[in-house]
Amino acid sequence: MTLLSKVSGTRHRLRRCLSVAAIACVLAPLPGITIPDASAADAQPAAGPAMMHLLSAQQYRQIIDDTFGPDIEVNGRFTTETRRAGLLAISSGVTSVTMAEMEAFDNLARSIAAQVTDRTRRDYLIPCKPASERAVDDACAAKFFEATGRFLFRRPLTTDEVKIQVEAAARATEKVKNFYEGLSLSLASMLASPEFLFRQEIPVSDPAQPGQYVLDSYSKASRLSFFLWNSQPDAELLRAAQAGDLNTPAGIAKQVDRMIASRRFEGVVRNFFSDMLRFDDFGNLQKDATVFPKFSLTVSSDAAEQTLLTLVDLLVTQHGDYRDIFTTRRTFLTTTLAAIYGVPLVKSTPRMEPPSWQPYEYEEGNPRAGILSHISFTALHSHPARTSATIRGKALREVFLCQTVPNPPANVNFTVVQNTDNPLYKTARERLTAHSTNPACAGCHKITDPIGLSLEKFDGSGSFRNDENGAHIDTAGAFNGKPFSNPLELGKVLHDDPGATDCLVTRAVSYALGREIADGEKPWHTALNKSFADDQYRLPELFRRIATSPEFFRTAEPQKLPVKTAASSN
Amino acid sequence: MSAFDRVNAFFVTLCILGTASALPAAAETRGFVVSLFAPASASTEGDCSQGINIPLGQQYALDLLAAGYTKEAVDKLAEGQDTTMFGGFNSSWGRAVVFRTKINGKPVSAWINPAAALDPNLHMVDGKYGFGFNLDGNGAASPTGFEDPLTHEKGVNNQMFRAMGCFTVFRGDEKGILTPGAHHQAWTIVQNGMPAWLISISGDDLSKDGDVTVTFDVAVEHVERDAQSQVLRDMTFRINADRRSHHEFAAELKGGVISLKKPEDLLAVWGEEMFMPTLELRSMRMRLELRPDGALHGMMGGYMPWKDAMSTGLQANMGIHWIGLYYNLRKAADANPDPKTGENRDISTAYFIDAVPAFAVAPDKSKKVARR
Repeated sequence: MTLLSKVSGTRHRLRRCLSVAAIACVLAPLPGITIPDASAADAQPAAGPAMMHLLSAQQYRQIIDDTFGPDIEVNGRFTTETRRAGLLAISSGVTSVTMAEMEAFDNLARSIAAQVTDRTRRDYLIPCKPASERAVDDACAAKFFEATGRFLFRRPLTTDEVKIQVEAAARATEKVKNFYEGLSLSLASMLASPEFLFRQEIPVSDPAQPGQYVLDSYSKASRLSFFLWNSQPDAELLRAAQAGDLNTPAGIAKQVDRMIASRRFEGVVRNFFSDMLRFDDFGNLQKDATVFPKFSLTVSSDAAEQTLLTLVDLLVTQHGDYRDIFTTRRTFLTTTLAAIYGVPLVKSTPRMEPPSWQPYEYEEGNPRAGILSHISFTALHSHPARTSATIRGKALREVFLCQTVPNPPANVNFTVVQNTDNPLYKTARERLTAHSTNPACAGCHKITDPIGLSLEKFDGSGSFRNDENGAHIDTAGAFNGKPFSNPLELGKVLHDDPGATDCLVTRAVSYALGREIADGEKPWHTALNKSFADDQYRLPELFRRIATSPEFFRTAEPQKLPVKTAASSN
Repeated sequence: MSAFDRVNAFFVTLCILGTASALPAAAETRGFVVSLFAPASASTEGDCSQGINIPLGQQYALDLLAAGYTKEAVDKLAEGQDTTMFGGFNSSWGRAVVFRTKINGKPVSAWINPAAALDPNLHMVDGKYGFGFNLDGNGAASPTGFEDPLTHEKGVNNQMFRAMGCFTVFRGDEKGILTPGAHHQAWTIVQNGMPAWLISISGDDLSKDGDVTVTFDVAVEHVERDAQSQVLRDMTFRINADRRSHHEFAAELKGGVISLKKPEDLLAVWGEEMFMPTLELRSMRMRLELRPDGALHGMMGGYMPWKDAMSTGLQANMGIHWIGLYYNLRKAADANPDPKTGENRDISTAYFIDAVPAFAVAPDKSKKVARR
């Protein structure tokens, strides 16, 4: 069996699985492909597997936007993502699709297809007019599917695939006596197909290194576009793939430069940090309005945006040093956020228009600097009615240092830390000290609390305070043997800690690959770490180096694996 | 103590220094946005010896009888109608209520021509207590003076409370906690769209007794709300460039309470038609307390045009018999007589005021925030 036939067979099985949709189909690595035994690898370090990813909700929307325009409404329910190894982006490669979710995809596909072919859009979204609106027009249908399909499937459609879509449209047209409705039904089938919903990476033998495998050109194009634009390849990238340009370092570099220079790259930076900083948790964030009346829904929705604007400005617009995210005094605020931060900010709009974002720089002496002082960290990693030095410390280590802090045992008594009215323990430090006398708790709290307690002057809503229950808050602590007395100094310690930049590289590579780094890719990770430092920790340079690395397109040797289907499972 | 800690000790204070006018070069300025402005209504049991004014519908029936309708005619008009309110212009009851007044023998709207309507002689407060200040200087000798239930000062003048206090929707309590319902509704409605009222307190050291300056301004923006629907603290406001709403008064801070050094005229603080077109208080007094949580609470009193006092009741749409209110206010007015008619044009009043910390910027320096 040739590789192509293997992949084709895989596709067939997937289609069958999804069309039956009676059972979850667990993905990744790509069925038919498995991670080779590391011991079997020769001189070349073993790469990770080729992957298959379910489109995220954001990617789905962006693709529809890119293909058909922003006025197409995408109203549907998407698969819930679960964070793995610090990123949601990884989970899309290890997920399952239930029957209900497939039905939701199908409904969404019909809705989109109907909008594409409706009277208001057909003239500019369909590149031809049928001879009669009430009759079949295979030529026009073929022209539409060839043009549109290459974006939706992220590669040119095969002759057979075009034929299938045209025939489907013709059969439907004959029944409903309407060319556009027929076209719509056939388009809906494309949008609900696995070729659209899943990014399938196809490995091929590397002609330059016999015995090694790389992605094929169109898979390379997709990996690049989803990494740097979080969407499908555009026409230029598909052209480059077709022309073989992506098989040369120069060809790849040219495309990467073009993509990073695009404004769309900012969107990826936003998406990457939204994922890494766990901003999806804002959807579940609740604050007790009696304790934190300033924390309104507006604040909640603005908090993540503040941090994202700060990061994009620092890392993309200013081309700044990643480490400065822990120390920068520059940020962006709305008047509502300014109120919770206790700083003055005038509406930039002349009269009563909605408030807009404005750049703001904390003055020297203000206790806020770096994104750890943002509401998006302090409030997101707090309880509804109080702070949590432990949760903040845990989050800091997991999010920014890629460390794993175990969850507390199930039988822990939290009474002491939860009771903020206990006159014996007025501050969080006092409560945690009392709680940590339990030896079972002390070990983890030593890891989390010192850094979490340094942020205690930011209450559970992110507002500043000097005291808790009338007692002065002590923010001193130490991290990796380096003492600090307040959050500003903690930010400087983190700024200089190599673990923070190492973690960023880990997250960026995982985000790019859509999976965790394979053992065989660790030398690449080490090399990227060094180049990141050489590049003065510029994020776009890191992304550029990842995207232009040969390792980015290298895959493990494909091997056959049995595919679970409803029938085989039963 | 760090520099920020020192600033934070004054936390959330409004800084209005650097406004177009020359404010005193005070070492410290705290700023506030008004969160509540409500008539001080010291209602007590039995303070309306003739009783609380009867419900609106019943009073309208009496009005129609006084206007010449027979009881049978009134009953017929009321048949099948919601007589608890005026009922609308499309109902025979409503039209009769509104057009019960005649000028030159022709029916006219009583609401447009209140002076032509008959005075229903609704009840006024005749109890002992009333919030306010000794505006007329007569002290306990003032014939219309009340005793303030909080300070127990005698001879305080608050004829607006006397005129309004027997309407259910204008009743408060002797502790100053309850805001009269009509005002509360009107204020709550208008505040979300009305330009915010700003106050700043400037002095050398507001933690100590001494001379201070109290400044009133109107903002360009309206207040915003927090998650409890209270006025959001620490918002930033632009001061309206219209200087007619800008007032500065010399005052004294003593024991955390601010009082004016002498009676002042507060004229034309731009308001909102539904609440009051402008806030005007002549011969104004005030007692404002700087509270530990950074807020400001107190009372302002003075003489205001009695017709302005109508606005709240009129627009609150809470079943107020406003012809009765019109006559009560007119009869109770106690200052500023019209030189031609001799009829008083102003009425003594007192308002509770709450304000929360806020920032503000000068009207001509919208990008530059004034600093303490």
